[in-house]
Amino acid sequence: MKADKIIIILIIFILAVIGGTAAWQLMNMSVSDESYNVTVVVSNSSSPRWANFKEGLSQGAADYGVMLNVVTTADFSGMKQERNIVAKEIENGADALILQLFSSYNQSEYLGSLNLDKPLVLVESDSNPEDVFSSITPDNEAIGSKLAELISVKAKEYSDRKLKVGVLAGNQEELAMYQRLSSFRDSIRGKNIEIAWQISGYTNDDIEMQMKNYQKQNHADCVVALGNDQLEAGIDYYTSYGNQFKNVLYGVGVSEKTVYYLDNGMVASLVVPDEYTCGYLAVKSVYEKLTHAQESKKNIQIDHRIVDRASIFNETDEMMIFPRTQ
Amino acid sequence: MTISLTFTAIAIAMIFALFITMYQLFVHRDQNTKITSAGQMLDQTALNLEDYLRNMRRISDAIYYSAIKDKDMSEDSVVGDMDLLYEANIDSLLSIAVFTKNGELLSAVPNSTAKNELDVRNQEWFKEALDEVENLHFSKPHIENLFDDPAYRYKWTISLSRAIEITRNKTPEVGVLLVDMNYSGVEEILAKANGGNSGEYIYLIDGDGNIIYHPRQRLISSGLAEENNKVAAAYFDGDHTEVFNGEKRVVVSKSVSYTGWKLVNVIPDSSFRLGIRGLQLYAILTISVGIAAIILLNLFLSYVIAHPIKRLNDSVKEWENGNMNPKIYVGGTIEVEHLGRTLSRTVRQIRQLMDRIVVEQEEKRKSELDALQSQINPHFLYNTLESIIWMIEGERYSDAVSMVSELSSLFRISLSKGKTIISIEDEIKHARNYMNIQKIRYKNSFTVDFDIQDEILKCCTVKLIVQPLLENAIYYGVEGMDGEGEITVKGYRKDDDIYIDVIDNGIGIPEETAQSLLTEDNHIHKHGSGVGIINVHNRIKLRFGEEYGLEIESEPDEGSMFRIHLPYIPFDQENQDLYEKGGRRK
Repeated sequence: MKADKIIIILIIFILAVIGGTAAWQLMNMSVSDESYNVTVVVSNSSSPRWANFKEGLSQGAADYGVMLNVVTTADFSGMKQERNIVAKEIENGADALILQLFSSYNQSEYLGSLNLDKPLVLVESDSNPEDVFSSITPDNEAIGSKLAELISVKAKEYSDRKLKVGVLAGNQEELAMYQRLSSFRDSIRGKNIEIAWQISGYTNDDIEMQMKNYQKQNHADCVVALGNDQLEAGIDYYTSYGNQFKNVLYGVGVSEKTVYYLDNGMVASLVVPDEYTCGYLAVKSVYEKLTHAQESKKNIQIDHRIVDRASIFNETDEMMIFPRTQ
Repeated sequence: MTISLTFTAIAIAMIFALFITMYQLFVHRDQNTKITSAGQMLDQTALNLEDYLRNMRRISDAIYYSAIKDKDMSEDSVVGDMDLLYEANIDSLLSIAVFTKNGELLSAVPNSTAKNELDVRNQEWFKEALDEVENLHFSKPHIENLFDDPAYRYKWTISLSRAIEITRNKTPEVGVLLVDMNYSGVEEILAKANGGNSGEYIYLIDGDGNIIYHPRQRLISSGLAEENNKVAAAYFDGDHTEVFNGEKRVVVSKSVSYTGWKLVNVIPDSSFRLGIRGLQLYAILTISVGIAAIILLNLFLSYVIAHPIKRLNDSVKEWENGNMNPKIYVGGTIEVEHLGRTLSRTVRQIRQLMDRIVVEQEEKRKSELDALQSQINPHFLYNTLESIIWMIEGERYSDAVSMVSELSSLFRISLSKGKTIISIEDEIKHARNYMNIQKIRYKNSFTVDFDIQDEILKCCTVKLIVQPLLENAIYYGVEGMDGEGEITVKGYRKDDDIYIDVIDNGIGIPEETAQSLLTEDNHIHKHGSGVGIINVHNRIKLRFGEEYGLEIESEPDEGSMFRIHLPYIPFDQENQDLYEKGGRRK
């Protein structure tokens, strides 16, 4: 065959390939708007404490075009409850999971047993051992030491004795809570602070009762709550005696209730993790994993701010604390 | 192929030029449409926003002029009137409050408890109201921080504040009227304008570039996104092109009346390309198919046009290569077919012309020959007849009879019934007759030896080609020499050729003369029969082809050799007839 004929056949073949590819892409343009179903499982999902987190999720979903399914849950009382929900969501065809682990321990075996080939991002707390799954969490050790620092300032008011502190340590099976407590304890060591009592546990239902008992036995001057639910329980305890208590609570909080009592004066200082960013980055991370768009960072730490009564309504803190969706 | 390539290249270039022009036109028009549409959207949004804010100002005016201005607030309660207005606009308002210039809360709706230790004097809206008492002031969005809400609700608001004149204990004084607008009212208007998913969005800034609304405001505040709001604050109303974070974008801005606010519509460059993608793919598809179709069509057209021309050209080449009877291709398009027919006719005419020329030449030669033959030197005939008379007078009757017989045979063969092609046998016999007569005339002063192979005797030759050479050998070879002249005639075959050599040992011919004998028309008039050497040469070539004819080798004082070169053609009726008609065309 002559060279010019080969060239012509080659040109027509190349044109056919180009035209075919263009036609294929044209036909697939209408169906290319693939939407991913992302399931979000967090404890007590309807709690106002998730307002900022959900707003971040919504913004992420809008930006990345994913369908969000925030599973309605009650306060988790155990791992089985959470696992049932996760299994059901996987069965229902979730493309990816954003998960707040009830327990950070021994999760890799369980999640591994699910043959989970779907992207998974942990929020609030990492698993233990760490670095098995992607996570988006605040710097929990920094939060613990920050709380210790705030308490230390108060302890200076007690020159004749040590400041007695009650600790609402929450679910210590959650790595985040464990890290906050460890860091807090390490940071107050050698300072004029004494832990009068500590309450740990899965649920927050009976914290108020337990506090009353502990306070009778060994009265704490102030209480440190390592999580939002614990802080709200502490608030409930003090408000049960009226609104006269001021600057008796320190803790981590994101709900408007905790902010209200900060504004009210009962809470002296509030550590507020940037839950909005957490929610947004969780969706972003999941999307990147789904589309393999780029290598997302395995573990992301979100910021937290220390807010006191004077700074609640300043421009920067306002934007982080109060959700826009009302 | 060249035609096809040229057509294809031109067609492709035109397609590309057309597409690029159309594409640029479309993109430009699309951009203009988008910018115009963005401007219209912005105008509509500004209108909605201005309506909303105008309504807020009306509420503020209504409260001030109908509820506060003419009342002594220490004696009359204004809460009832304020509450009526509040209830009428409950969706748009969070609260209405009146403060003294010292920040003391005088009246507020809804009936809420002010926060403990509430001090509004440091709040922006309060300071602005007292700083510029003649104006109404719209604040940046902020959390309302006035009243205690046991339901833990904190709401975003935009405060509309103004300095007012209040009367207490009959004494007028300056106060501040605050109307806290529900931020969601502004948010709704702008969120509605941001409904599309083309990447285009609208945000609202105040005169200093502070963001009042932005669809990604919390991301901006978290540092996850950025906006060019500070620069946009300086833009005049209209559209501007800017590059922000490496992305080119068109920004359309529109001021909102009375507030100093500015609506900004951002159209990223990528949103211009959004609708173009389909067009680009469609264009690629169309161009690919178009180019392929053009190539195939051009190949077909090229085949239809060029193939007949090529075949016609092949016919012409065949003709050029010497085939005088080529098969001329007649076909293809009307023009090519016409060309083929014309060429075919021309070839046929040329061939006929050539035939006619050959015939005419032959006839001319024949006429010439006939004329020459009919004009055999009278001197030769006279001498011969004188010799015969002399022989009879000397009673040498047998010699006279022999000479008459030789002469008779000579004339008979010369005539040959009018034929030009005779056998070599007859031609040699004619030569012998001639030489026998000449030998008698020259009293045997030379010898003649004929050495002719038998196999060539029955072959064709043009008649009267040997006799002129013998005549030439006698007159220019042996006649004037001192010793006995020797003339030898050799005839033989070599491959498909026949050679007849006439050799003499005479005085020879100079080299230049020998060559001129074959190129110049040297007729021998003086002694011979009148048939020149060149005549013999031309007649052979004319009849048998250019490769045949005479060759001359001669050395002065050594002798000469005239070689006749003929093709080997058996002598029969068919070949004689063929070559009589100029048969070398075979």
